[in-house]
Amino acid sequence: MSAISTGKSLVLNKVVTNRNVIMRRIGDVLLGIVLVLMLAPFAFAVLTAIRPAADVANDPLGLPTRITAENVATAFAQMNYAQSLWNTVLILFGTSVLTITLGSMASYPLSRIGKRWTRLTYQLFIIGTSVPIWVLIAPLYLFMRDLGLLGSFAGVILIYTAGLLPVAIFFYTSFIRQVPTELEEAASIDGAGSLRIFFLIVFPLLGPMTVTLITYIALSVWNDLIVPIIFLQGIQNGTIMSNAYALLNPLVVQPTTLFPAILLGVIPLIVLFAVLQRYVIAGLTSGAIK
Amino acid sequence: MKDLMRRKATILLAAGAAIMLSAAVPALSADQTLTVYSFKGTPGQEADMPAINKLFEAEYPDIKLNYVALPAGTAYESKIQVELLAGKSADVIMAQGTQLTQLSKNGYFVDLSSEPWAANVLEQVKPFFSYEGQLYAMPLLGSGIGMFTNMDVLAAAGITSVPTDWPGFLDALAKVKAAGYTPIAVPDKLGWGGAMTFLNMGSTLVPSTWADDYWNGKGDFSTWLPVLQQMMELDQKGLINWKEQLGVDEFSQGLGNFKQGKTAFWVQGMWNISDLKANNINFQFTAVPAGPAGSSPKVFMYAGAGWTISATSPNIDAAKKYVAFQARPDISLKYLTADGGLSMFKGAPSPAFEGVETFNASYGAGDFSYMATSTWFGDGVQEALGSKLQAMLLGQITPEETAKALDSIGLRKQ
Amino acid sequence: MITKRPLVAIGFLLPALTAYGLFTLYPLVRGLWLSLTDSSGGPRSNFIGLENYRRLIFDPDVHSATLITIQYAVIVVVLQNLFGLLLARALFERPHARRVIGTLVLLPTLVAPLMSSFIFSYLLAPDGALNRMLALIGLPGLQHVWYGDPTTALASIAAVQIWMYTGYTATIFLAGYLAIPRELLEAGRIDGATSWQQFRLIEWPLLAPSLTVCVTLSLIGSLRVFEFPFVLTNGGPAGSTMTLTLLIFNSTFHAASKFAYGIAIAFALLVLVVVSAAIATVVLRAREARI
Repeated sequence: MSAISTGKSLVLNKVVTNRNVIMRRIGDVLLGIVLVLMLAPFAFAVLTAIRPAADVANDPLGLPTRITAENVATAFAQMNYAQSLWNTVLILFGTSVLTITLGSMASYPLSRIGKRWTRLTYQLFIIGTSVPIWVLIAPLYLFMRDLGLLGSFAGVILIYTAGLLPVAIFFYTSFIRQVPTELEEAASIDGAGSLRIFFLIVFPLLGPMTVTLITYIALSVWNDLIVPIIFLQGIQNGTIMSNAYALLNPLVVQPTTLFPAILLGVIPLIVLFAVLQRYVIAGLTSGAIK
Repeated sequence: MKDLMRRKATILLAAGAAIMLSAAVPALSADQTLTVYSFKGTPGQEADMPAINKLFEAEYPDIKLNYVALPAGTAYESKIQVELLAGKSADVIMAQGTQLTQLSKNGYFVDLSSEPWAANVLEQVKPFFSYEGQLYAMPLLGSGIGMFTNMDVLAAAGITSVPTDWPGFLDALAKVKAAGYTPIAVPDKLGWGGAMTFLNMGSTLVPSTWADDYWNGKGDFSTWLPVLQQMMELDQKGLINWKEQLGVDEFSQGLGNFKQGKTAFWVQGMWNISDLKANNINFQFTAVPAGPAGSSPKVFMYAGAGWTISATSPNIDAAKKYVAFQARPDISLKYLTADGGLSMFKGAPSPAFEGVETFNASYGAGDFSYMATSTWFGDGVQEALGSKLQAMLLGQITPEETAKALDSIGLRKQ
Repeated sequence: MITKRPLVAIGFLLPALTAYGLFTLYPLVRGLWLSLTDSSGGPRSNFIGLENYRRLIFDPDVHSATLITIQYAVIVVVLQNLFGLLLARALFERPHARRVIGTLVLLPTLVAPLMSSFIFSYLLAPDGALNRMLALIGLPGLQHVWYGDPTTALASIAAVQIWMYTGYTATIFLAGYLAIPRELLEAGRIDGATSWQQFRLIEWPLLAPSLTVCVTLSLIGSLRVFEFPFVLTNGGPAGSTMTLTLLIFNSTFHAASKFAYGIAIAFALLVLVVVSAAIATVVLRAREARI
């Protein structure tokens, strides 16, 4: 009986496997095509960045026949690259620390207490995910002036933090809800205070979400143009993006200026993501097992 | 031996300290730092401003410049707008177009009407830099908007000179096409190219009194119907494919395409001159031909950037010195040569660009019209007009319908 | 436990509430006040009550922009999540390729939106790479003036956003896949479920939390889209891609007389985003709970 059924299922398995193998090859090819399509625009930018200006003028879409580092080097110097990289990293670091600390702390009562006032507070925060920045610019500027924070990284960090807190709270509350409360209860019985419980027990469990949030913060801060331009002064205080933007002449946008600026703007982010990616996937996986 | 080294080091240190001190002294005694906001002089568009600022500092050693340059556009405009609102901005501020008028209206700027250079400003451009009769800005840059002609392509089609009237233009376009080249490019993805062609042809075809009349409530856009019809005629005769032009970007693609040398004519602004020259393109820059046989076209200008002084500046005297310095004919010429523009002062020299002689001659002879940004073409009209023209170029509405629609777009005095 | 100590709970909330209140809510309220005036962005303005809001209800430009914005959001939300899901599944089934490809597909997400727009502006120009490629593979009939034709312009703008964020969406879905208990998937396989049945009955329901996040994020992102149409079409051709954000921008920046009106439209957009995001979240969370 068992032998017969095993034999039957072997045959069946073989048929299924053959079909699966074919399907899988087709899938491989499709995945390859998608990957090429996704990377092609990026490759176009990189290839244009390293071609001499004259070649690009003659044949904007051609493959590089000669390679030059000149465009990239010029952009590097004009962007005041090392300084603007440092500035951006400082701002990003400050924003991440503040957003993560304040956001996770606020999410803790918001997700653990199911009262009317916590729901209302949560909704108040969520409105912030959709506020267009230019509605805020003028009032914010006047306020920053009164606080004496114009032209300071602290001011910019506060603006970004306030802007990103809603997203942080959106991410964290949904995550904390899935974290079981037994550990906290046990700690509470042992006499631990709420701050201790939060920072020693709950916060470490939020690791995967925190890493995902950092990627989100990095994207928002790194690629923002308007806040550094309005609230910071001069190229020596500028961020990567605001200084890359300064290279463009809006009336005569030259591909050989534009693409190196794109490239230099994105390289540090690629490095950051390559490092974080390990943790993202690892974190997401561990989060999944829970 | 060791002692000697130590002594040497001491001397070096002392010398270093002395150098540092001597460098610090003038900075300490300099009584003024003048902050200047500008959209000329960025790394992407130097416009010779760094050199001009050096000259200024050499001539006024007691004034130190803090020159902040950002590309023209939203970011720059919103920056100066919020800063002026907050009463905390630069001393000297570059502004242009409708924003300049608006900021003057809000009382943010110092009245410059009685500055020594003010008397020399061309009467025709004064309105663009004034509000209620007071002059609030030093006109820095008049930009010609017109047509670039690739003379090599023209020669290949057997034509020796740039056409000046409509029949001649059509003829030239047909010949160029027959020779296997693209006759004319008017990139219009952002709605800018179509609007500029429209205005440029209008400066020849529409009577010069029309703008004031319309602003004051007389007349309508039916006067512009011939312009609209001629724009469509180009497409009907197969000389341009508007639908394709609507997919080409004015500011990031037109220049690149023209430089490839396959196109005879291209509608754009003077600011491309230096790049074309650097790429050894044999070009002429003229007005777009539009008038009847035997006529010559009027050139079309945009009153661009102007220098203003913030009313809250603590350094108004120094600021006035800086603005007057920028107004000096020799300095202005230096800037205009680098940035590709014409002077808006009476009798002041404009750069003698090669290939722009005809245009300059018309301008010098007063045969020009300026984009009416202070009257009917103000506040948001460019976007609306560009969009409506796109609808016509796509064939969604006829020239007649377009002319009617424009009546609700152009501004009238209130 | 924090649940029993409301004062401590408020202490946890206070820092975030302070920062958010001072630097987002307070300027937002000032902006709301501005929308009730006839301000032109300058120091002087008069209170005019709800006049700006009354005006926008009857403004055909606002109607058309709202419609275009919603169309755009539908295109982006549907395609971005569909492609993201397919990509995530492909990566889930290929554990060895996951790490490298997972990083590569995130590359487009990292490019600044302004810069991506320029890249696509070149690629989709009439003589750009896409049209040349179509000619090369023998499909010249498909060549098109992508950004110049009202029928394709909006979708061609959406393509940039989809290109940028499909990888990001896939990462979130992939996390969802990795969260599915292995036993469930294997049980399905042993029962001889087809790939589609497996997806339909096991994966799709269990991906609900990821779907909530992805749909909400892409919905908010697409309703607030600005850089792409701003660089690529400026609302054209003939107004066919004039989104609400562009309309707000043109009012507040290109027409001082409409400054306060533009702010009022911005608040209308804010309501649209909040309402649709709330609906999406409620529907999707309810679905999660059902499953």
